[in-house]
Amino acid sequence: MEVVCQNLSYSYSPSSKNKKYALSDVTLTIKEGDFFGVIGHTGSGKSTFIQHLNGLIPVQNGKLTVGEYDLTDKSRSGKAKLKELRRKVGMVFQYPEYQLFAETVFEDVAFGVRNFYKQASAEFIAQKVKSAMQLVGLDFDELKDKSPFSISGGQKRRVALAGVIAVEPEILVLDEPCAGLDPQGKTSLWQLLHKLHGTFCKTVIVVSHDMNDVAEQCDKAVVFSDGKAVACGSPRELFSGLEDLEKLGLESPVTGYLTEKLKPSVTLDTDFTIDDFCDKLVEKLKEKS
Amino acid sequence: MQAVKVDKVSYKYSEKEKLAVDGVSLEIEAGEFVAVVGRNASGKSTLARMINGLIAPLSGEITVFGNNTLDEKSLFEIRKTCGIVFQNPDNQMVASIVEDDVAFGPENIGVSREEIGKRIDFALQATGTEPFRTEMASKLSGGQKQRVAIAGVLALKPKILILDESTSMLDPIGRAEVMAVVENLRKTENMTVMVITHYMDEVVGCDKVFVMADGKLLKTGTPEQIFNDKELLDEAGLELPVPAKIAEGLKRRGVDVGLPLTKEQLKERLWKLFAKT
Repeated sequence: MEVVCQNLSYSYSPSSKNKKYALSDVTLTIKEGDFFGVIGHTGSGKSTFIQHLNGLIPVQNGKLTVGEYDLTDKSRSGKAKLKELRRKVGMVFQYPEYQLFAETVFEDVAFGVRNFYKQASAEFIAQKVKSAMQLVGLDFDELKDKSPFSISGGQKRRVALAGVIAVEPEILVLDEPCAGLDPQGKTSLWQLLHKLHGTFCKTVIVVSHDMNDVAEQCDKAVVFSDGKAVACGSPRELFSGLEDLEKLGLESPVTGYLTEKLKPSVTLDTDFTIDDFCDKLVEKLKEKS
Repeated sequence: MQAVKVDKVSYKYSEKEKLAVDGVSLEIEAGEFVAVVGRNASGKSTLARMINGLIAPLSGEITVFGNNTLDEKSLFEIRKTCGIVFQNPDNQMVASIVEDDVAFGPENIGVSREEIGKRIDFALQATGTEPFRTEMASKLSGGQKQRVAIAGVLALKPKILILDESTSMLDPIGRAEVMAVVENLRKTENMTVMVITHYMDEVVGCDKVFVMADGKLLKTGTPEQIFNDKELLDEAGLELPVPAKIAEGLKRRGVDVGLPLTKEQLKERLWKLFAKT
């Protein structure tokens, strides 16, 4: 499913005289198969944008289609399709563990499945819950009957994630999935997202503040500033225009900063991952000596 | 002058559970900038809550500028002295309008009306939340709410400021802005600052680092001492700051630039390397 967004605008106070736009004239395409970053400083419109993707925020102005679903379609049949869309576009909010609520881990993970498959048998639900928990690296037998409030922070986040992927969304959208995780938890969450990316979940869309993470993890990214999508491309493209990025109040990845500071005597053609940066730097050193 | 003294303190949340904080002793001088690091659930936040007197140690004792947190009569003074900002701003908002929320703290400790006005101005300025002054707090983004939560505590003019992952929703530049304000208050007001963080780049600039694992204090040291101790990093689940990671990558490829902790240091060393060739 491809996300196509044309001239999308949104204001939280549409009737106010001097209304401010949270999104302003956003046009962009997210292709099926992308591991896509959404970046921008606090309040730049990132969260407003992603909440459009499964219809949590209705389209005010402009056009938005996600696969065959037209989110601008306000007719009754269009609205009926919204539920189908929500199964296919899984949304993981900031600190999703704050939304855990059920008595057991099993029930929490099963909540979405029960909602989307009203007539489902107990076996069907158990099977979905089990495979989702396995996929996110949680031991089903050990944890299923535990209270979600009695487990560690890293595990809670995985439970919340399992609840979203249990219905096998094709597009997984995550708002700052690593916020609050310790360094090891963060590394293993990125690994998990890449693993999911190879399954039913064809497209991953991640909101992130950390340009080092974007350079390391994403194939492509869009930069939001003041509600506008001001740049879109691969990390190689985005982080080469360093000055533009800094004008938008964004910090470049450390590899980008160093590449810029080594100019003009040394020019590195890197994709800004740490490994590639080191490779290219060592090559240059050999060339020079 | 000593700001905080933690003496052989332990705590557990319930009979059945193991100790959340296990025999921790540490000292923080007034005006110091310290960081507490370690995995989720290693006891960092529990320690912070005990310093602020929100929970009492099971054994051992804590003094804050000489006041013992076990002494009920000192608690008001301790909480006035020691401001704490938690991770989730939604749990700390008490008023619906931003400026009312910031006013709540000073109103409660009996600050005069005129002074409250000044403090709100200052706190909103300092955290860059002045533009949202009369807006509904609930309409702000996660990062903006975090700034308001920090403003609310700055308005208390605490002698000790504890930031418990309270900048986790801010972007790196936003974090740097907030930390610059904090650093400035430390210099001008001799405020003592304790940050609990998972961001290794926030640790780099501080005076002292406390590394915790499984409720115990594993090591106290300067950032250099901590990041040069590989075994410790593994044991506590920490990682190197990005510039040091790049230096490690270069080392694996036969290029040794030491272990620079900031991008500026790494830049200097790379310049030297190319100047030689």
